[in-house]
Amino acid sequence: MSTNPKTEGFVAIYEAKSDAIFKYCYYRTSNREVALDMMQEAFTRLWDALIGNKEIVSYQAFLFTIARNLVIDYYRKKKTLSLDALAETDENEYYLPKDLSEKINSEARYIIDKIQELEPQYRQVVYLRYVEELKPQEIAEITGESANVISVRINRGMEKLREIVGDK
Amino acid sequence: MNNDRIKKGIAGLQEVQITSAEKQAILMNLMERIKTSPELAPQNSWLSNIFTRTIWNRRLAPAIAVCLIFLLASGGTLLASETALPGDFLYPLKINVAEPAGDILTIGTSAKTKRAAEKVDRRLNEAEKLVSEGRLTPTAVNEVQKQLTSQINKFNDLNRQLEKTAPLAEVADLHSNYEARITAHSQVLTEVGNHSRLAQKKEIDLLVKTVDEKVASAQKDRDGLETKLTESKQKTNNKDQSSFERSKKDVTDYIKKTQQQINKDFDNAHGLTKDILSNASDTLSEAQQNLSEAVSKDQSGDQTDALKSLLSAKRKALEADISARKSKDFQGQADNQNRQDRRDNRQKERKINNN
Repeated sequence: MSTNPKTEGFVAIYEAKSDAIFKYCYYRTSNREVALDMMQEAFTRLWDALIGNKEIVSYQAFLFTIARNLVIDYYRKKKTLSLDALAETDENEYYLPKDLSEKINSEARYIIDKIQELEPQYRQVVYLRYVEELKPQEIAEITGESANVISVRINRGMEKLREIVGDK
Repeated sequence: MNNDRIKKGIAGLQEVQITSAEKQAILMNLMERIKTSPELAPQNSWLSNIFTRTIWNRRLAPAIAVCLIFLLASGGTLLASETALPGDFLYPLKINVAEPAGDILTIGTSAKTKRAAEKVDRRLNEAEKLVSEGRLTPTAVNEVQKQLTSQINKFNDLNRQLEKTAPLAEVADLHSNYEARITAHSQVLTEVGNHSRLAQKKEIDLLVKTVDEKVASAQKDRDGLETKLTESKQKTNNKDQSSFERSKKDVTDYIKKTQQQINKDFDNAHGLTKDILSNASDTLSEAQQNLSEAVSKDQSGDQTDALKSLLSAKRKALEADISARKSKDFQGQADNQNRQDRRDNRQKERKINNN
């Protein structure tokens, strides 16, 4: 089988990162089909970047950045479609997907509720650092802020989460 | 405990995954798009033929996915990146995806330290492969230096961490193994630099300088470790004679085996390869000398110095073995150089005859 190295590289990245990107979109949209579409779109854009020889420092950060922008677009479109949705949805929120709620343990269900109680600026960094295990530098690439700011935010966010959970 | 509750909750969130069927269905959709990219599409790929001949939708996924899961699970693509060198398209994949994936599967500080040392060895092997293929550009040197320094820092951090939990003898042994590897690479690269004509000479010299700095730093760390080891042996008055005898026998056998291999390869070697083997043979003689010192010190009751000499013998034997093995990588280059030399000589002879 003769396969182009770019194709092989792309498939390997897909194998390694598709779950994480799907999960990120799923928790943020609470809709499996939408999350699957977003994941496919994120990888399509990665492929476009690869064939355009765009310089990518971290594939992971690149994919999460696209996924984040897709989520923002999704909520923007939803808001323009429904005024009710404006009150109900927020691009910074993490939702426990309804069709999944029976399949995950009670601790996971509990913690996603608590993450949702955090101020918006801490939700995403805490999620990306602890659930997706991204490095502060990678999160900084996604959010466009400095790694130092992100590190401080991760620590404060985690402290606040512990407070909410009642560990402090 | 609530902290425990956070951990369990996060672990629960991490468990959520896309199903295999969904994963494969989306991959196939993506492959359809890839197929339309000019030049970059898989050429004559059986996989692409399946995609083009199948009217694909998500409902069909499970049937074909089962076959694909097996193929993808074999990790063929990631294996393809294994041979990538600095500057290759797949190299970032190797460094950022394939190797970290392997790191995750490595459990325990000792195993992680060993793996970090192997990765240092990998970086140097990559550099040597670039040299042998004539691809060591200034950009490649920068990349090699960056990756090498990062990997060595990781090794040193892990080794320091290991010191807190593992027996000092084990830490010293791991460090000795690492030092032997980088020293061997330094010697091989120096020899390659000596044989290089103008092409790549500057880049090889830069690389040798970097590796030599790392060797010097490793030697310094080794001195510190050996001092600690000696002190701890004196404190515990540890006379583990059977362990010493076992190590002595292992090193003796290793030296003998390596010497046989060098002698065998030496007969067919020439040019650069012969010089690398010759250096390896010298290093092996030093190993033999260290081994003799270890035996005599042990007989005179100087246990700590005997152990130090034995460690040196082991390190040098390994150094010689690695150099000897590496010499084969440059056989092709030596052959080319030999042919070029013969051509040059023939031309010179012709010129003399014409005159």
